[in-house]
Amino acid sequence: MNRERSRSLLRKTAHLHANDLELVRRARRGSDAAFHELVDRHAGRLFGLAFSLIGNAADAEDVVQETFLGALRGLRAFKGRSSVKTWLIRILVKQAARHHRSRSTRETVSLDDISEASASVLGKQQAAASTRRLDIRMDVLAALETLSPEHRQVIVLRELQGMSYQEMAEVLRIPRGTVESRLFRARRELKERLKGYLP
Amino acid sequence: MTACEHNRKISAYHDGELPGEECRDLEEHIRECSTCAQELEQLRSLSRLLAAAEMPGMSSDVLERLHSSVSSVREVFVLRTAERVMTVAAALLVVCAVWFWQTAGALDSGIERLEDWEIAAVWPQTEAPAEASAEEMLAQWMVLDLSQENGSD
Ligand SMILES: [Zn+2]
Repeated sequence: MNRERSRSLLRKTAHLHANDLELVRRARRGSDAAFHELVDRHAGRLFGLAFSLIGNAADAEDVVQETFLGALRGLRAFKGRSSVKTWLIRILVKQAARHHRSRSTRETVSLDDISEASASVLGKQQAAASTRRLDIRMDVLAALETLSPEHRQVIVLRELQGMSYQEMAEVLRIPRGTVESRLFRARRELKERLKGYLP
Repeated sequence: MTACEHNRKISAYHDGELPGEECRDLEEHIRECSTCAQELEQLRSLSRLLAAAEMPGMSSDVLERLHSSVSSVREVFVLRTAERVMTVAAALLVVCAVWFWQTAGALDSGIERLEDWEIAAVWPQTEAPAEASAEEMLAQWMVLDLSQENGSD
C-alpha cells in the first residue's frame, strides 16, 4: 500500500507536465511510470462512463481494466490521429459492448452496487444524504437499461460525457448524421421511460 | 402532442449542433410552434435529469487494483519480450554458426586453393625434385632392407 503510494508520488513528479500524447510515446518506449500516469489521469472518467454503460460497479471496473490492458496492447498501433482520451473511450465503448454481449441474464442495476460505490466515494453520511439523487440514478439507470446498446452509447456519450457529435462519430466510427438520428431516437425512447420526471 | 416536421431538428438544436442559419430559422419557428417549444423543454429537462443522476465515482481501491493489473501485465509483457529476444538471439546464433561453418569451409578451401596456386606458381621446380628424391630414397631403403634381411640368413 505504502510502496504503491510512494510509487504513485514518484510517477506524478516525473510525468506531471507531460501531455497525454507524450505519455503514450514514453510508455511505448517502455516507461511503466508514463502508462501509470495515464491510468491516474483517465481512470475516474472512464469508470463513470463504464458504470453508465453497464450499470454496476464490478463490471464497470472489469471494463476499465480491459480498456487499459487493451490500450497497453495497442500502444504501438496508436498513431495519435485522435486524442488519447478519444482513443481510450473508443476502446472502452468496444469493451463495454463485448461485455454486454457476453453477459447473460443477470441483474444489471443493483441498488447495492450503487449504494456501495457511492458510500466508498462520498462517505456513509453523505451517501445517506444523497438518497434522492440515488433514486434518480436508479430510475435513470433502469431507463438506460431498456435502451439498445447503440442508443445507450449515444445518450451516455452526449449527456453524461458531454461529447460533441464529431467526437461521438470518431469514438463510435459512424457518420455524424447517424449520431444525430440515433440520438434523436434514443431521446424519444428515454423521454417515454422517464416521463414521470418530465414536463 | 401532434408531430411537427421540425421536431427532429430540436435534438441537434438542443445540443448546439445545428449550423448557424438553420439554427436561427429553427429558433424563429420554436417561438411560434408550441409542439417544438415543448419538445425543447422536455429535452432540457431530460438533460438536467441525466446530469442529476451523476454516476458514482471510482474508489481508491479500484484505482489501486487497476495499477496492479497494469503492472503485472507489463511484467508479463517484459518477460515475454525478453523470452522472444532470447529466442531470436538463439535462432540468430544457430544461423550465425551455420553461416560461419559454411563460410569457414569456403575460406579453408580458398586458402587451400591459394596455397596450391602459390605452391604451383612459386615452387614448381624445387618441390618436385625433392618429392622424387624422397621416393628414390624410400625405394633405396626398401631395397637395402630387403637385401639386409636376406643377407642375415
Ligand atoms: Zn414545430
